[in-house]
Amino acid sequence: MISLHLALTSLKRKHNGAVSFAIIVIIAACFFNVILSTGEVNSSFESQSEKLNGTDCYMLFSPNMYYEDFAAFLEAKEHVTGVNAEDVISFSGKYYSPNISSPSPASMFIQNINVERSISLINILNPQENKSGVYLPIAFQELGYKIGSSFILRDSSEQEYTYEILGFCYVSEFGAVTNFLQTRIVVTADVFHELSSNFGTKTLLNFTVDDNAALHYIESQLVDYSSAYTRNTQCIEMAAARPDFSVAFTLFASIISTIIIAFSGVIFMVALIMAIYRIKSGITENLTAIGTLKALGYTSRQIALGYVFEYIIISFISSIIGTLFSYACSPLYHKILILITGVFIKNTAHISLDIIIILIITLLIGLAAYLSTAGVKKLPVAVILRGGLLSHNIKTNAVELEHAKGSIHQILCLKNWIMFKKQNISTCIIITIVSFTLCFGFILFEGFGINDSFIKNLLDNEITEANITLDDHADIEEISKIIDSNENVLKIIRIGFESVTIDNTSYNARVIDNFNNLESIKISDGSFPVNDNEIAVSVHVASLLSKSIGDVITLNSIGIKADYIISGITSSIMSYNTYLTEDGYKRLYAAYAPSTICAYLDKGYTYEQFADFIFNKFGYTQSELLSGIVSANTNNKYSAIKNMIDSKMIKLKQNYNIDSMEYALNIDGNTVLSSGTSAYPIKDVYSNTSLLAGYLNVFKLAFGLLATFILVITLIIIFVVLSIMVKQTVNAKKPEFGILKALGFTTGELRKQLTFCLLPSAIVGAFLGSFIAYGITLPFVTKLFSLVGWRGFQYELPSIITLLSAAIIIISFTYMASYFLTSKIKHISAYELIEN
Amino acid sequence: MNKLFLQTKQLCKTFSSDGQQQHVLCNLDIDIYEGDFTIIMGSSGSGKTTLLYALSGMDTPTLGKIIFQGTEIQDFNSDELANFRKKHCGFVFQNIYLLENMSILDNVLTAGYLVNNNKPEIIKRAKELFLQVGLTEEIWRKFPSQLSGGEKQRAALIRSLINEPDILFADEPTGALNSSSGKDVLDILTKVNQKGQSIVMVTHDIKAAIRANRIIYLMDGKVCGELHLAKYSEANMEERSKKARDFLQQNNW
Repeated sequence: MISLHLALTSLKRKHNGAVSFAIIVIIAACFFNVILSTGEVNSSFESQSEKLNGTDCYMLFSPNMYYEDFAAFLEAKEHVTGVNAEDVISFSGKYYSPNISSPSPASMFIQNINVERSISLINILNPQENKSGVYLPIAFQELGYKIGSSFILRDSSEQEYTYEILGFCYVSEFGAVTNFLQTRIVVTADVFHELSSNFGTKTLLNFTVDDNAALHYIESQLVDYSSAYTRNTQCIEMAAARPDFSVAFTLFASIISTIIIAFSGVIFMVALIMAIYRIKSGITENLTAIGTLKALGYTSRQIALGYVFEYIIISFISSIIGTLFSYACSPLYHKILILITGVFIKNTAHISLDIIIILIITLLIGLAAYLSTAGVKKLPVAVILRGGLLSHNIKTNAVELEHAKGSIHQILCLKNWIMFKKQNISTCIIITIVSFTLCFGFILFEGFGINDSFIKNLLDNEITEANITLDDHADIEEISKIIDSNENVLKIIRIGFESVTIDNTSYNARVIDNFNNLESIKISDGSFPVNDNEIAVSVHVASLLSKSIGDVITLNSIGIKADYIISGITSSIMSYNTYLTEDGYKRLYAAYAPSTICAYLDKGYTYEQFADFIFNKFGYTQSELLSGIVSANTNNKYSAIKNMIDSKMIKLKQNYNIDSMEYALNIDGNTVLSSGTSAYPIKDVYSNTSLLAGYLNVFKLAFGLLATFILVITLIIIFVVLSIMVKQTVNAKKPEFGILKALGFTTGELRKQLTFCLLPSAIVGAFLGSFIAYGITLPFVTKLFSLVGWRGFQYELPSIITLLSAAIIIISFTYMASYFLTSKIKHISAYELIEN
Repeated sequence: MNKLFLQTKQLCKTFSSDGQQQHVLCNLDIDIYEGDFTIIMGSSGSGKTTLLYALSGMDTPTLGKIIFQGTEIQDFNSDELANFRKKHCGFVFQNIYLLENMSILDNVLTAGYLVNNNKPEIIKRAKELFLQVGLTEEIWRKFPSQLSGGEKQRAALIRSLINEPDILFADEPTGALNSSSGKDVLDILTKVNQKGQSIVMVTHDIKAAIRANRIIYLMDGKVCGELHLAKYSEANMEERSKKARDFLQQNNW
């Protein structure tokens, strides 16, 4: 009771200092609570998927390429627990909402709200009856899209479709705006009808399994079955299995969670250091009072417990406030996670967890306080009453003015620094810790949010400014020559997007004419194939096959098999890519011809200029023709009819896998119109650089939010720590400041002395923290990725400018905050300072 | 009579606390002359120390003027006052107020370096002054906590004199010292005054007061009497003492 009484008396007397310390504990408790309450992102992902019966595998069939027998085939398979097929619109273009964003490139599935489905259910959060419009994934809400505003789709021919946003939905796997596969949006029946009449529909086949290990095998079997059934190896346009994309989604969420967990730990460490520092300096300041209490008969234990109780009371109350704050802060953290993962995260109360966190924080700070009170116990009363002096001859003059160099202000600043060396070391440690976290956040922000090389690496696709997909029967040699002749085209590569099976499992085969020209796809180990019996595979594929460089794998394409030696491994965690030379692939398919030309453009030469160049050389693309915009813009009657006929024929050709079609319109024996599908050798022209920019925008937003969040909290912590330090220093040095003022030192000079005294700690701490962060980030990220099964990735550390800018922010802020905090001196006259 | 050096006109200082006002100095008119050793005396609460702090620019008056060598200083901002103190004033306190974390040499040099950039010159002067007041080199290196009260006050005196101030203010410099140490300090003050140093000193000690040229007696913030001792021989301390005693008795001392 006596100790508690001492603690309460002390708290009443020094409420300002208690508040500063409490702020740090509040922030630490708040962060811990936010993190622990959210739990594992992976488990959120899984539980949401389970609730909505998320698909384990989806396949998108080309128009008229899906048959009900496929579903029957799957249902008959062991491990398959459910099959569902529905018509969707596969949209590639851009989307935006006025006043929110500029158009973002996207590839999305548009689904009909009225369709009943048994797999990958859609949960509409705010359904509206009898209205026409769209429901967007929950992540769009975090991007600023609002109910009632317009959502605009813009297709490749710049045609726009505007709909009202009716609400938001969450879907099990494709709700994220950042995923590398598809975004799903849900539309009312009338909107679906309108869009499908423009873009047609494709069939999305979903199935679930009870054993993920069997997934790829079943998927491969269906690929083979459907290819044989349709006699078309390209009948499936797109396929993905849950483990692949869940890893990608949770990877970034894991990075963000880890940063915030580390940050919470850092803040908690700061709180502990501050507790220890405050108790120790409190003991030094109150030695006379402590001595008096001892002289009156208080025991050392009672006095020490008084300090412990004081900090237990502060920590307990602050932890409760921090916990309450966490409920207010969670939405921001959830916003970041939703943006990246698309996983819907709800705010829920978790009282038992809250109590545990409050108790842990209180006990740890109580323990730190107990250990710091050792000083009280050691000193005899006489020594304490002498102000802690063991004898009168203990002082040494570290800086003698007689011999010191520099101005009196610089010398006094140095003397102050030495005098408060313990405080400065504490400040230095704290600034090192917070700088480390800040730089760590900055580095990851630059690495993942700004720098595109990491995402390029993840995608395992060649990112070029212009991509030209060719008709099956186009003369690629001729087209390549024409494109290459454009002086603004730096170089081209020809890629074939093919499919092969290895051990009955389907994989992508990227057939590339010249690996030396690749810029985005990077080999992490070994080399790209040179000879026709060599192959490179992604690290993911290597892991699935349990193969490494030098091993031989057997590829199968429509019954033809060939052996290849693995020459290299690319670093993408997601991709099912294998890489072959053109001659290498011809061993499987002798009639192979590349389907895509990728062009690298000169700086200053835009994609739009290149698209004009293609139009001038080859006319409309098939995609432009199919969009209907060409005929709509044609005034000449015959030309409009021609365009319409041409687009119909292209549709027929695509739907029925016909080689080519020609026609002629004769009126009275005269040929009025004649054309054919061969007149349109270019299927489509697009830029996947802008697609990448679309992905990056969301990452930039999410990591930007996180970096800003960390920056603000870091600055608050620095400010609170400095306010404690400066307040303590000013109180301790009040008489000294008074004397110096009486001697003629101005307030400004004294403030600068104090501020500059703190600066070395800030400079050392900021640079040390930044350098440690710089050194530790790479091993940390490597470890993190290896935990999710990704080894051998390539991650470029950001420039030294990032490191310096973070350190400079901290140093400048420390200087400004210290100078501001020392303004207290300004209001005290020399007379008052001396008398106090 | 010496040249008018420092002057107050209708000087008032009022302190407010809990809505109540205390008028410590009331319309005070005082003239201080160059080279004089002026003593301010008065009972406790008469406003002596407040006047000293106002004259030295350590505190600002509520009303009235303080004119130093023709310049009004009462409206100076804090930096201008700091500059004024630095250039023109020296100060000795009853509680000495040496900087505890510095050796006494450093205490003196801190004041010296602030005004004069010529460090060797300051160091030389400081050492001369130390020797003049009887502080040996061994003592210069010590910290205030290692010295006696008299030694500390002598060090403080050197700190106040290091910049050769136009005027030296002393607030009961012997108040915390034993009689022997007090006498030493007074001897030093008398000696520097004889060399032309203007001094304004607050004291309760009649032995200190009789060393002055002039005694100003304050009561309730007003001047209620003045005694000019300059006309009495410095050699005849008894006569000075008697005159001072009579003067103080007239003022109900």
